[in-house]
Formats: sequence, structure tokens, C-alpha cells
Amino acid sequence: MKIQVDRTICAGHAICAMKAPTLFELDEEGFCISDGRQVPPGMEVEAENAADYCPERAITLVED
Amino acid sequence: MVAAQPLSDPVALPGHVPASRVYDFDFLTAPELLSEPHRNLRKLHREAPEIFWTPRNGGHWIVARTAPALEMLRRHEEFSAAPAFNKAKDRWPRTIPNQYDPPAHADFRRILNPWFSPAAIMRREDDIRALASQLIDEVLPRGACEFVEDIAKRFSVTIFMQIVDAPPGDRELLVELAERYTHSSRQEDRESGLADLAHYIDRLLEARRANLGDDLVSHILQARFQDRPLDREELLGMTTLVFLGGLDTVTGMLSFVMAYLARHPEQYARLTSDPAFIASASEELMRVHGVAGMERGATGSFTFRDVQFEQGDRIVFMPQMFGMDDEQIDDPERVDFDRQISTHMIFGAGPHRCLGSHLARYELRIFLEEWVARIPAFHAADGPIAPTQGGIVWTPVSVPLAWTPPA
Repeated sequence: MKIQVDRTICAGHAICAMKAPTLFELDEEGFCISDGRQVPPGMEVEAENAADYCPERAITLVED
Repeated sequence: MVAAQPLSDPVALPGHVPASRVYDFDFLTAPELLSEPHRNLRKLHREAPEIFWTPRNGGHWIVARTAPALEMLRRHEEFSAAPAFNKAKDRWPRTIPNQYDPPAHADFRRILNPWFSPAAIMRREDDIRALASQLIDEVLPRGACEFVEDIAKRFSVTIFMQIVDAPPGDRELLVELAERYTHSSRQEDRESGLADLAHYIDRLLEARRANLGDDLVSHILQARFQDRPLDREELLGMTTLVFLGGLDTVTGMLSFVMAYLARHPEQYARLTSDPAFIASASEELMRVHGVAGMERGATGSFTFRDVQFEQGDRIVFMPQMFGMDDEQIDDPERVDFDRQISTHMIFGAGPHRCLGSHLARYELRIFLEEWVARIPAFHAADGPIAPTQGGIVWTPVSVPLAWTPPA
């Protein structure tokens, strides 16, 4: 499973990094920079919850 | 108790607004704002169209549902933040970056973002925690406090004043100016509050220019916008916005949360039994206790979600109600700390997402952690429900709390 972040609509709510800090990382302004990152096996539910939590719906998870 | 204020006089329906889109609601003085507004104003979701037009306050659109708002707050080509398309925003000073659209907005915002990112706020954790501890310790032996005056108005405002390095003795003056702007229902009172605050800030900027430090005002004074320094009006507009955001929004949100916990001891007991739980519970508490709204103006003649807009149409968003949207969340009035997802947009959405949202979030979390560490149980001391005040920022007027003082 891979993380896709639409950087054009990420508004820096930073909920993803709060909910799943090992999966989602922020730049120094607080925007998500984890686009393209692989979700380690066993972390899928955590990734999905963080994606569902995003107020902007900027995160999608794609199966490999 | 706060007396109900008169509703503004209704205006005539403009030609492009069909009667089916009209719902009579005064967003500044509606009687529902006086007590438990988040719950009482669910009637907007039940009774009004998702985008409705009210004849009050000069006549304007209101959006209290999440789905249309999320889309509109991103479509700045149609729904602009600039005062040119919304007369209600045309006042001095023009605040920055909230009254600009992309791309200028992003260049202004970039000046402020690093100061309000989660990492930047976490670096202030010790200061925030020390202040929370101090304020709680002051009232702890009394076994009672009036939370709004004794704690809320001092807590977030003091933290903010540390960030901008404002003289601590000016706290009450600044709170009065900001409150005149955010809690007045009369446009002229709001404008005078804003202008008086701007005059204060203009003097602060002049003094600081001669005595730069490592505070946010010094940073703004030295910042560059598109490779030039900010001019005097821009310095004023940006600093004024930061002050407005910092001076009373968290006060309202924190007071609502404490009033809620005082009335729901079983929920509070969950926090005391597992303080590690406070971080996620805070999101659920914020979802139902948003305090601030925002506005846009229509840039032209167009149709959006079956609504006809004309250039200059005023659009008021009510993010306070987005967390209560039953199309987004099941049984929204139920505060449930076990929800997997407590998504809310009390901080708005799109490029203008509240700059101070992370500061607000950490302030709430840290404050609750310190309160829980000292006070095992508390209740509302005087009547069950905190009276609240309308205006563009909602806030409880007073929240008297009581607990058993430590032996």
C-alpha cells in the first residue's frame, strides 16, 4: 500500500502526522511531505484512519 | 444572563435569489446563540437549504454544511477573500493574509507558517505548560473559579503576548479591543474595535523597529514578500490579523470545553482515568465547540450547486456548525471519545485554514492535562448552562466552576 498526498489541496491541518506519526511527516511549514511513501505491512489500518481523518480529503491510499 | 439583542432589520430579496433559498436567520444576534449555540443551531441543518440566503445584516448567503463549504473555500476564483467582492470586509486595516486570494495569499502566509507549524508550537510546550500550571494553582485552593475571567482570558492571551512580546500590562486593553471587534453585533462598534487595535499595533511596530528581538513582530518587520519588505499598511494588516486570531478565539473554545466537561462528569472521568487519552479526546471536544466563522464574496455571476450568485454577494460560513453536520458524522451531538474519526473543520479549510490551529490544539490539550493532574472532579457552580455571546466569535460569558479543594 502506498500513500498519495495531493499537495495542491493539503492545507496543513497536520492531523495525519498527529494520528500516524510514523507514516506521515510534515515540512517546516506544517504541510504533509509523505506523498509516495510505502505503508509498512501491519500499518494499513493506521494509514486508513489518518487518511479518513484528513479534513481536506487530500490523502489516498493505493494498493500496489 | 445575557439579554437577547434585537435582530437587524430585514432587507428586500434580490432578484437572483428564489424564495426557496431564503431562511430568516441573524448570524450575529439570533437568540439561539445565547445558550448552547452548537446544539440549538442544528435547526439550520434541519430547516434551511445547504446554502441559504438570509435578509438580515444587509442580506447575505450562509453556509453551515461541510460539503459545500469545503468546495467553496477552495474555489477562490469564484469565492474570493478580497474585500472588493464583499462590502462587509471593506474596513481598515485590510488584514493579511486572510483578505487576499492565492497566489499573493500564499506568499504572505509563508512568512507566518513557520511560526505556527506543529513543530514550532511544540517548542513552546514548556512555556504553555508552566502558564497552565500557574493559573490552575492560583485558583486550586479556593475550590472555585469563574473560568472565563480567572483562567481562559489570561491563558491563551498571555501565551500569545509572549509570542509577539507585547507588554504584559497591556493584556486587558488588548482583550477589550479584540472583543469589541469579535463580539459586537453593530458594524460600527466592530470597526472601531479593529481601528483602535490597529492604532495600538502601529505604535508597537514603530517601537519594535528600533528594538528588534526574536519575537513574531520583529520577524514580520524583517520579512520579505516577493523579494521586497512589507510596506507600512502590510505590516499593520498582517500584525493586526495575528493579534485578532490570538486574543480571544481559544478563550471561547476552552471555555466551551470546560463548561461541557463540568456538565458531563462521566466524560471528565474518562480523561482523569487515562490522561494519555486527552489528545484524541480533544479532537472530539473541539469538533462540537468551534467558535469562529469566515466570509467570502462572489466574484461574478455564476451558478454553484444550483445556487445563482451575483458579483458582490456576501457569503458567511459557519464552521462552528460543520462538526454538527449529520451528513458528515453520525449522531453529531453525541460527544464520543471512542470515535475512530472526529473529523471537523472548526479551523476552516482550504488555503486559509486557521493559522493558529496547532497553537489552539496544543493549548487545549496541555491545559486539560494540567487540569486533570490537579482536579479529580469538578462541576458547574451556578446553574447548568453557560450563557454565551454571539458576534463573529462565539464565547461563553461566564463559566463558574467548583471542586473540592485539596486538603
